[in-house]
Amino acid sequence: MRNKGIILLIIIALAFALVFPQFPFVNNYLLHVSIVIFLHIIFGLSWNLLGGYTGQISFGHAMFLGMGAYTTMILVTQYEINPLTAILLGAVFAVFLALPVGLVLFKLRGPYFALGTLATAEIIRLVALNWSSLTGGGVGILLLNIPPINVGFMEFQLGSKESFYYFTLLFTIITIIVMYWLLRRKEGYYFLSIREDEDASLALGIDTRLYKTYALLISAFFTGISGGIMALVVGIIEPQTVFAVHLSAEMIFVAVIGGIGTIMGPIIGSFILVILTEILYDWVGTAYLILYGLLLMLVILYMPEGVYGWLKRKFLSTFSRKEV
Amino acid sequence: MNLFMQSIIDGILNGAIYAVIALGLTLIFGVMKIINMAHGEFVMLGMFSTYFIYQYAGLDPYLTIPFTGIIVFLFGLLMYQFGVGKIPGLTEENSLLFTAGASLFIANLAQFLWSPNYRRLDLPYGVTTLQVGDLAISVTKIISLCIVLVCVIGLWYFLHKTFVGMAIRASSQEKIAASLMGINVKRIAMITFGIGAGFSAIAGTLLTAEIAFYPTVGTIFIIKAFIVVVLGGMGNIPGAAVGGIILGVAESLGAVYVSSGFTDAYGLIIFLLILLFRPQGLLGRKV
Repeated sequence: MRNKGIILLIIIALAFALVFPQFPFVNNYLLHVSIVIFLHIIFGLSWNLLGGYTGQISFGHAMFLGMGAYTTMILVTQYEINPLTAILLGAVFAVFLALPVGLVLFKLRGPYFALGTLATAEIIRLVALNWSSLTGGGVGILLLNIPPINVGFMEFQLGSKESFYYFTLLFTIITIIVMYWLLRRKEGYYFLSIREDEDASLALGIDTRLYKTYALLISAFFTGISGGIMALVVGIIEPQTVFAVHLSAEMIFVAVIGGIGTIMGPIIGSFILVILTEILYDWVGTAYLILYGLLLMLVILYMPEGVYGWLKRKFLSTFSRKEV
Repeated sequence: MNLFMQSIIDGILNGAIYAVIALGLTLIFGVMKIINMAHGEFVMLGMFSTYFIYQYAGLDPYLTIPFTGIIVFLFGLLMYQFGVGKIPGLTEENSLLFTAGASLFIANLAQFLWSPNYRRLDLPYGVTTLQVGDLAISVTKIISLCIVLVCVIGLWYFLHKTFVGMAIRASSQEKIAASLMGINVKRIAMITFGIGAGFSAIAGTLLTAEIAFYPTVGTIFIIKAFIVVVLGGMGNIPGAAVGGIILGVAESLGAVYVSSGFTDAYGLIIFLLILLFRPQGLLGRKV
């Protein structure tokens, strides 16, 4: 945010996002796609904080999403707690899960860490599948009605696509702001230095395991939030959908294809991937995953800085003289 | 006691096949220091090559091994030539992500071309068992074990007695020194990738006699192969063989004596423990 052009673009984008549901041509389907894009932005940014900025590639981030989703779902269906509290508690539970995971797995580095997260996520999925009394096992949990949200003076009922749209948009904006704020702080620079050279960071006096865990906890918190919202939007969850390996992969795709280690990257990546999925799914069914795989390979080979990095090189340089 | 012996033997026989898959993975890791997330897809390609050769040429599955091995070997060479070898910098992260993309691409392309249906080979001798005392041992698994032994001994001979094999070992020990000795390290990496792929395909062929298969079956085997490789130590070839047997036995004992719902979890827990407390693997030297 170094110049007026970009601030103006952000204001226009925000205004557009706010009035979008009011346009006459906007139907429930478009709103649903927007919600899915927002959720991708939230978990893409969360994964990116750990994978892109701190350099710890996780293949098991679905465990935090699933934790958020299950906690939210159980609190809302069995205890009729208001959804906002439930989602926040879900995120807190995701953090509780992340704490031991981080303490244990951050003994590992690089690809070993990636494999460790993959294995942990599989174990958590198997636990969710077999602990039927709590999670409903393979059948899952079905959401029948959502209690209203009471925030002191006003009441907000989640239910219509429009209400979910604004609700998710709010959380997306919060996530973007928190990420932006965090990365401009001391911690943000520590994360970057760990990514660039972990041993050197350690030698300079950065407690690398502490800061890696710190990045993981924040990442898990927001991934948990996206899981909670996703559970309420979809209305049914089961281990196969919220703990699946392909969800972890989705988070990686969003960040890598958009541009790993940037804030704009996962945002652009979410738009590209979700819209592509929607178009292709109607056309070829699950075969859209072929294109996903191809896209990931091509981006790694020819555009390692992602679509955003590429765009920035091509077009944005005309707007801003100084790159961040 | 018989049940115990039976599950130990079943475990060893299953583990032998896991060992072959893991051998390819560990060989690739040893030479290139990359983790190949698309390794399970090589197993799947081996299964389908066998299936199609059996279906259209009527060749016995075990006789298709040379063909499937070579087909998937060539596939591995192409994948290295046009993909893996071109990854910028060949860094750990990029190669991990690239091969994850390749895995998705291959599995879903296969699903698109060949439908997600489960397939199975109905072999006339598929359910025949050999009685040794009270123990029943499946004939197909004994054939598999023999083929595995041939493969492992063949690989050992290749790595120790042939020029290319020695070049592979040299590159896995010290890349720069190897290239100074006149070894084309890139060509060696390509051949290693091909051999790793071919080995997994052979394991795939052996598995067609045992289980039903489908295009996304690779995900099961990639996780098993990782467990085995980590058990034996990354890049450690005898370790992969030992790790395979250990995983096979652990799984079959787990399935018999503990709840079967968590069978897969036991392997994963062993995997995590080894990663944490003995990252060099059971047979690895202390770094």
